[in-house]
Amino acid sequence: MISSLTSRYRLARRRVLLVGGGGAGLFRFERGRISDPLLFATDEVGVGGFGEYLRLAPPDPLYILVDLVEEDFRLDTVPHVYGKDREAVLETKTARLFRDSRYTQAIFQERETQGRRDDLYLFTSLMRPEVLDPWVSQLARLKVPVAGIFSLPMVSRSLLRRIPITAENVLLVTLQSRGGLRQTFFDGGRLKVSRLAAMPRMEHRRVVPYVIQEVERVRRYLNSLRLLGRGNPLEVYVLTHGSVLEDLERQARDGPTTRFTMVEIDSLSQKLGIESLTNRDQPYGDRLFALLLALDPPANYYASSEETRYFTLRKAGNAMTAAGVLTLVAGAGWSAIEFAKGFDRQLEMATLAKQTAFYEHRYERGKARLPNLPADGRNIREAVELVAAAGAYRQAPGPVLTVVSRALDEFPEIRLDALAWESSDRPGRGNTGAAGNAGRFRGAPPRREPATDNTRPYYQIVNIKGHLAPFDGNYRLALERVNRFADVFREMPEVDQVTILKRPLDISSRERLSGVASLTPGVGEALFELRVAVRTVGEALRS
Amino acid sequence: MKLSEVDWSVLRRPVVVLGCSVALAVAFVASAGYYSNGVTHRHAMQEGRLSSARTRYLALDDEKRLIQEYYPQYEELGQQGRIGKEQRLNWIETLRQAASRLKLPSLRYEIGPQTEPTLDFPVPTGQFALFESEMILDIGLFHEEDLLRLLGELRKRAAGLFSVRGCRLEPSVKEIQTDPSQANFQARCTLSWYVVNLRTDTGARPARRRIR
Repeated sequence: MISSLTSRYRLARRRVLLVGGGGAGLFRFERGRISDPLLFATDEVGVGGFGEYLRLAPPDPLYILVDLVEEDFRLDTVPHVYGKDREAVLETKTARLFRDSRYTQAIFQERETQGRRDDLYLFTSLMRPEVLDPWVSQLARLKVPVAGIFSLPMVSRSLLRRIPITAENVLLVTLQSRGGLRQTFFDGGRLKVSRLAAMPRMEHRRVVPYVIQEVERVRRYLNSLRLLGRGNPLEVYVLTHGSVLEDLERQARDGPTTRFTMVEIDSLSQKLGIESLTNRDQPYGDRLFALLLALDPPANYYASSEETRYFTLRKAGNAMTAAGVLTLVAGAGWSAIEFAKGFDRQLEMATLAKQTAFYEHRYERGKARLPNLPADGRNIREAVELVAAAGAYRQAPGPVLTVVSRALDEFPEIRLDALAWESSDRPGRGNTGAAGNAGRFRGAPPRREPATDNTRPYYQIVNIKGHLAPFDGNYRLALERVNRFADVFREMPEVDQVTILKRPLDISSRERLSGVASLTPGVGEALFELRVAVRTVGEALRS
Repeated sequence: MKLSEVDWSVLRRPVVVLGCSVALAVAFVASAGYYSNGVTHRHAMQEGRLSSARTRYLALDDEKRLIQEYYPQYEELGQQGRIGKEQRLNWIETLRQAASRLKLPSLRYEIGPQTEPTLDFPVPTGQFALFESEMILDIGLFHEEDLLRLLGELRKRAAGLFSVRGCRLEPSVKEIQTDPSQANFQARCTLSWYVVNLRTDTGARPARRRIR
């Protein structure tokens, strides 16, 4: 995934505008190849041509690489502070070092080991920012996405890693096409100072001695700044090509303070994944730096947010496009999965329908063999059980009359005047009217509690009205016989409750009492009334 | 960068692409969801139908067993007048025959309309229900045992199932007569005739709530 993104990045189109003294060269980077530069002079015609080119060319991102004499480098210390304090200190220091410049930068180098242990910074600035104005204004006018403004010495730092160079004191020397000799000094991989010197016209006879002479001049300068440690020679790496390289190899001599290493620019082509970095016999490093920037751009160095505004917008637009595509792909993917699941379910539904038809067919065939019935088997069973339930609870007077008959057998003197009974689920209930009250269809039916199970007892409550005959007026005997009659019922196991409702004589103190006390037979009656509750479920089933 | 500083002409295309993509994605998702929900619903219904058909098919054996076990009883109970339509003509004829056989001095009857009672004993509930008709008998008896004989005749010969809800028996004369055509006792009984029938086959009144 990462390698894929990297290769896509290498294929992406972008442009590098190398701004030097007197003009600019524009390199186009596409599909891993870098083009020959389009050259524009810093005059009305050149800048106009640059604008026309921008108008016609695709709006690919553009990186501005400055290689100017006006770029200044200062090493200085600031107090070791953090956060906003550091920003304020750096801003103050930068403003003091480079007045009136809007292109400035401060790069942390190291922390001092002695004294106050301040932080050492490299402050850089384009001392004449107006040099960039013609180009920047054209870019802004045509809404070109400017990725940033970069310093060539800063970009050259990545060469140390790519060549690779591990020495402590390194002076990187390149020839620039705009007639300059760029010398950049690194101490322990950290950029310390860089210088662009004007170079004589391109004559080998004069260039090579000039280069050697300039290197010596810089060495002395570095020495004066105490940037070179004692005993450490200056490792000079000259990156060039063709006859200049050959002449330098012949003429440059290593000494105790300086050691030369010649680097054929084209030898870096393979490392950078490009066919060629040079053009014919040209010894310049312009294309190399443009390629380095295009391949591995560092964070923006000098440009303001206003100048990189369209690049920011382009990135936002790319992010929105990517988000849109991702959303679409995710939505389409999810939908595809849901459709696939739905399709599977539809296929499964066909199988289910077949199985349903199979069972229904078998069911219908089986059912056709059954007799034609008014209801299904379960309901037929319920009908039978319903009849059984109704039969189990039906009532008949047989058990009651048997009980009464058994009791009467012991009392020949008792004559029945009336007998009434009814069924009830409570032994204490019942009425004296029996069928007389229960009769008529709209009358109150026997009051029974709904049964909760089949074992709940039922009762037949019988009211017995009678009298004793013959009766000679002996109420004591009559009371004794009626009580005994009631006791006979109580002794029967199926009788649940016996109540004497009326006695031959009410001798309670609450009632009025009157009668005839003569011994004449036939005077007075010995009437009584009993209520007897007989448990009948079980008996009823047998009746 | 503030929103007011944004150059929307640069972002027009990405915004359109994003908007269209989101709209398309939403359309895809909505249509897929609609389709999927519909299919899922139909699938569940089809599964339910299959389950029901399978259950019915598997219950067929039970159905056969139930029919083999209960249908003969059902038919027999139908012939006894305990299942099906109530047979009032049969009851009346049985009463007349019993009165004649027992030589009852008098027998009057009155039968009320059929109702579906709220029962006070547990019964299974299904397509069938228990229906009730109330019958009141006023009987003149030469001998009190004739009442039991009459009820016995009814139970033995009448088509249907009845329960005696209550009776009242009392002498109708002061002195016992020897003429069997004269009643010595008068009885008044209330009977409930029960019949089991399909709920749709009867014009019975709605359930009658029994008052406690």
